[in-house]
Order: sequence, then structure tokens, then C-alpha cells
Amino acid sequence: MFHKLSIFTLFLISTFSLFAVDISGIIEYERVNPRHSNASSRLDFSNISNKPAKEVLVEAIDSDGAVLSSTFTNTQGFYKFRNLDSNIDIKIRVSAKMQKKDAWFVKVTDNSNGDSLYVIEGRLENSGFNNSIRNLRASSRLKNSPPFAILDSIHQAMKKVHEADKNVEFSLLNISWSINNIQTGTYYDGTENIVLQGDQQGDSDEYDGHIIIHEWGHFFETKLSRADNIGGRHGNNDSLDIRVAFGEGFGNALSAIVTDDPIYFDTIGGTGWNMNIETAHHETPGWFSEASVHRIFYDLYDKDRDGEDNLALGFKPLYQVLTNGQKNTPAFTSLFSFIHELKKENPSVSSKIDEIVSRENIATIEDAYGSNRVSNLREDDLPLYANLTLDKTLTNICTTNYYGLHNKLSDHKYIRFTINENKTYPIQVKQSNGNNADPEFKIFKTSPFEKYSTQESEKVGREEVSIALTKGEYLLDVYNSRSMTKACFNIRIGDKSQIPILNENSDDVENSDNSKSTTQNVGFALPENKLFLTLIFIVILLGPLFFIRKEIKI
Amino acid sequence: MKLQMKLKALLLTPLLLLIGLNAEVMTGTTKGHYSKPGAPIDMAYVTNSVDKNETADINITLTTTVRRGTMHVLLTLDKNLTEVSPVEKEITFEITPEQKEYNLNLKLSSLEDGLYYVRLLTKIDKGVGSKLRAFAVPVTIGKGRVRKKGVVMMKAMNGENITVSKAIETIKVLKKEDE
Repeated sequence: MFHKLSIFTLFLISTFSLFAVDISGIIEYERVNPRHSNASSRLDFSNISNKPAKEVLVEAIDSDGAVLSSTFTNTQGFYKFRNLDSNIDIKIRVSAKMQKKDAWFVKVTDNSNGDSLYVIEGRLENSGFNNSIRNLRASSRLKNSPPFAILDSIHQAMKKVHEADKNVEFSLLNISWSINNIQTGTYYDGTENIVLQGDQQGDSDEYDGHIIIHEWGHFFETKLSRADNIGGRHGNNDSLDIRVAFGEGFGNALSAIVTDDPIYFDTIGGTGWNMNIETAHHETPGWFSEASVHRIFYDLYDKDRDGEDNLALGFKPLYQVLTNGQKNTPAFTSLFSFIHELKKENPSVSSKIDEIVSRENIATIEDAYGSNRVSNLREDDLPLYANLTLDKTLTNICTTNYYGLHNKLSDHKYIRFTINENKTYPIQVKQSNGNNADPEFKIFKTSPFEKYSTQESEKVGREEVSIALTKGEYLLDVYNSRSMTKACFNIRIGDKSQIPILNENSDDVENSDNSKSTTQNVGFALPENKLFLTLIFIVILLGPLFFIRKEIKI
Repeated sequence: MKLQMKLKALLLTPLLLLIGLNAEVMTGTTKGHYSKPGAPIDMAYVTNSVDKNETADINITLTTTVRRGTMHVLLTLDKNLTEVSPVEKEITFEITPEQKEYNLNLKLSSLEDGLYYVRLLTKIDKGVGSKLRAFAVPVTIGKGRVRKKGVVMMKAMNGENITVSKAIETIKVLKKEDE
């Protein structure tokens, strides 16, 4: 009986096998390569490489659209489905999605089309009675390879980090790309999204791997390290807020580290530009320069021994500082905090680190706050951090717009203070050189580091708040919302003795740059008085009822 | 019926007036974006959407933190845009510390509805390794439909929106001796 049952079972299994087939293949995408010529770069559509689509989702789909089986390609782009039904219509669908449990979840979507996931599909073909190979390729000519090119750059970056930390887990990341992204710009939004330009007649970034990895670097900093970078426009020659200089310099360096290619490039239509992360001319070097930061970071990593660069740390020691010391620094994240932590973690090479830093006109970094800077800047630029004692007025803290607006050096001033008793404290920031600035401030608690409060009213000449603070170390970030050559403030925390307020009711607004408005007034200029405005709207909405009051019997 | 029509007209009119207070003006700026490296130039614009054969007035303002140098601007127009007044395609500004804004004005029209773009490619020449920055200013003519080329959006069985396109595919059936 048992013997007959065994034979019958074997027969049944072989029958099913007879009617099951395997489908396998390679998934690829076409990558358009850049051509560099001195400081120019462009996409070279005569130089296209077929690259494997690594670890992307592949599905076998039947004629009703149901998923029969799913898998992921390996790092050579290979996939295999076993034991699919024979003699049915099947198509292969490949999604621009990488998903690995406890590792990553990354997808590329069309933000101009309902945030839909990009997929490519093969033909609906009968599976037959034999195994088959179905190779699929995303095409640059058909404009469906960009999502896979983007994923490949992200994959490269994640793999580099994974080499340094086998247990790393990346949180969800969505990349929005579309040929209709003509004026979106390319940026990371601070949460789970990177937006990429896709203007096929102008600036598109789908094949600009360094740019994609630069933006991914901001994602990495936010999720695994810490980014106090306040964002905004930036360039190599700018004198930047130290938080911006570090964040942007790090992103540039990371792109060169991940690709092991120091040529950072941005193709724009039939033209573009590039810069050598390692060897570009040192314009305005310093701790406020993103170019100095990216040169230092890359020199710490690379194997090339050139000039003062006698160090080849590789990526792992840098990663360990980013995810520990830098993440928990009590100062704002900057080159100072990073180098200070790196030297603490690697004392045996501390002097070699100093040599690399010195090449950028930066004196030896001794702490996370950039203390003891040798000043070749303007008098208002230093010190970076001022120390405030409770119940005493800190005077003459000045912001300037000499280097530009919002995110440049000296647009923000940092103040350190300590709270020894849990209670409510008045915080006052008052202008001391007039009454035409609009001071604002943010309060940060440093351990653990978190933004505690933001004060941004429209009061002219002062900003103040009474706020409950617990024991610990704090930072105050003070800035002026108005564009002024120089605005100076007196700052007090604690005992609310009067800091003099000059000419409180003045409407005089200094605009020393003589800059004009960037927009034209169009249509009515509505009054600003809210009560008057409300009355106008009520009259407009209810007025017509007056004319038909008889018909509606009011 | 007459009363209802009168009521609708009189109630809608003030609403339209309120909407009209904001006219059909488009503005935009690149300031404050968390942007990629490039030339240190920001752009703001004001345009008005118009009908076919009407003139769109486009005002573009470029700003920079650079104090000296030469700003080069290369303008390109989408092919369906017509110049109402001649548009210089290559423009140069000498940057000085006193002047922070550099203005361009264009008057354009089109015979067809659509969403078109004026593209700017900018750089600042300081004699050493100039970087570029590209901008695009939208010009809406008529309904300004965005034309999506060859894009099909569907819903997958799991309810997810997908944009489907055809892959280049090769299929090879394996004979028994091949396996």
C-alpha cells in the first residue's frame, strides 16, 4: 500500500514538474557616460554602456495582471523564477525598486504622474513547455533607463557604507524624477525624498552619479549621522556658515569616495561643468569653504600621497566618527566638530590629520567650537561662539550680510550658555545699533542634541521669550531676517533687567544694498490692517444679498 | 428659476472678484532651495499666463553673492514661443558690489496652448574654473497642458500606481540539451 502511494506521489510530482517551467534572465539598463574636456562635461550619447540593474524587483505577471512570482536580481542583474505554470501567457515586469529586509527600501517614482513607480515590462508571451531566458533592458532612447541609472548610483553609495558597517540599516528613501521636472531643481528635502531634475532639453541629473550621491549624502547625514546644515544656495567660492560648509563639502567628497572618482560633474543639456575634488585650485580656502571641506575629507580617505596628505584612512574611520562623535557633538556640526572627534578616535595619526587641514589655511583644530582661530577675516566674523553668563548682558553680537544672505558666514551667530536650575527663563535679544533689524533665534539643547525652540516674530529691533529650560548646555543661534550690512545685538538670559530699546516705533528700514524688489505689484495692494481687511471681505460676500433681499424676503 | 439664476450670479460675482484680486500671475524663485553645487546665482521671476496670440510679459531677476566678475547668461526658448520683441540670447553683466540684482524682460507669445519654458544657462567668469547653473521659467499659454510623452499610468494589482514602459527584450526558449 505504502509502495503504491509512493509511486503515485512520485508520478503526481513528475506530472506537475512536466507542466512547470523556469524563466530566468539578465536585467540591464543603458547608462549614458560623460565626456570630460578640461573643466567642461557633457553626456556622450555615442558612449552608452549596458549595466546590470542590481537588486531590483522582478515579477512574473499573468495576462490578468496578477503577480505569479517575484524576486530580486543579484548584483549581476540575474534573476530566476522556478516552477511557473507552463503554457500560460506571462510577462516580466521590472520595478525601479530595491527592497531588502533590515537593509534598505529605495524606489524611483514619477512625481509628475501621481508618484507612480517606474516599471518596464517585456512582452506577454506563452511560457511554453520548456525553460526560457528572457533578458530585459531599459533604454536611454526610450527614456526608461533613468530610474535604473539613479538606483544604481544609490546602490553604489549604500554598498560603500555597508562595507564599513555590515549591520547598517537605511530607512525608506524615495527619489522623484521625471522628464517634466524642468524647474524643480535637484535637492534632498530633509525627510525621505530626493528630487532630481529631468529636463531633457536642459538640466537633467539622472546620469550624473556624483550629484545623486551628493544628495544621498544629505540623506545619510540626516538619518545616520547628524546634519545641522541650514541649506540654501552654495558654491565653492562662498564663505559659508560652518554648518553649510561641512554638509555640502561632505556631500561632494562622498560622491568621489563612493565612485573612487574625484571628478565631480554636472551635465546640462549639451554642456556642463566639472571639478576635481582633490586637485582643484584653492580659491578662498578655510573652515567656511565647502571646497576646503571636500578636499580635506577626500584626502583623509584616499590612498594618494600628495603634498601634506600622508594619510589613507579609508572610509570606515570617517564613517565611525560621522555616526558617533559627530552625531553627538555638543557643537553645531562643522569641520571643527568632525576633525576634533576624528583626532580623538585616531590619536596616533592626529598630527597627519593636522597637516592635511593646514593645507587649507586652517590653524590646528583643538576643539569642536573652532576656538583660537587666527583671524584673516573681518572683525565681526570671530569668535564663532560667544559665551553667555546668566543674568549678565552679552553685548555687541553682530551679524553681517557681507558674504551674502541666509546661509553665509556671519549671517548667524552662536551663543553658548549653561542652565543649572530647572525653571522658566526670559531670553531677550535686542538690537544695539538702531531699531531696524528683525532679530530671530533658535534654541538648541546639546545633550542629546535637539532643537528646543524657534522664535521668529516680526517685532522690529527685538525678539524675546520666556521659556522653561532644564539643566544642561545650550546653544542659541541668532540671526536677522532683514538684509542689513550689519546688525548688532545685546543678549540676556535670566534676570529681566532692561536692555535699552532704541526708538521702538521707528519704521526706518535700512536697505544698504539699494536692492530693488524682486517682484512687481500686480492688481490691488490690499490694506494690511486685519480688521479692515475682514470688513472688506464681509461687504464683498454679503453685499449682493442686499440687492436681492426682496426676492429672498430678508 | 429667474431668482435662482440671479442669486447664483450675484453670489459668484464677488467670489470671482476675490479670485481676480490675485490675477493670473506666476512667480517663483530658487532662493532657499537645498540645491546642488553650481554657479552662485539665484533666480526669481514674474510671468503672467495669457491666451494664444497674446503677449506674455516675463520679468526675470538674477542675484548673486559674488562681488566682482562677469555673469554670462545664455537664453533658449521652447520652439513654439515667438518673440514679440527681439530677445538677446547671449547676455553679459559686469558684477559690481553695489549692484546685487540683474534684470531681464522678455515679451513672448504663442499660436498654441501649452506650458512652455524659457531656459537660462548662467555662469560667473572669475577666470578660474567657472561653474554653471541652469534655470527654467514657465510660460503658460491658454490652458497650458503639460504633454506627457509615451507615459502610461496604471494600477498594479496591489493598488500601487505604476508608470509602465516597454523594455527591449530578447527571449530564448531553451531546448532540453541547452539546459
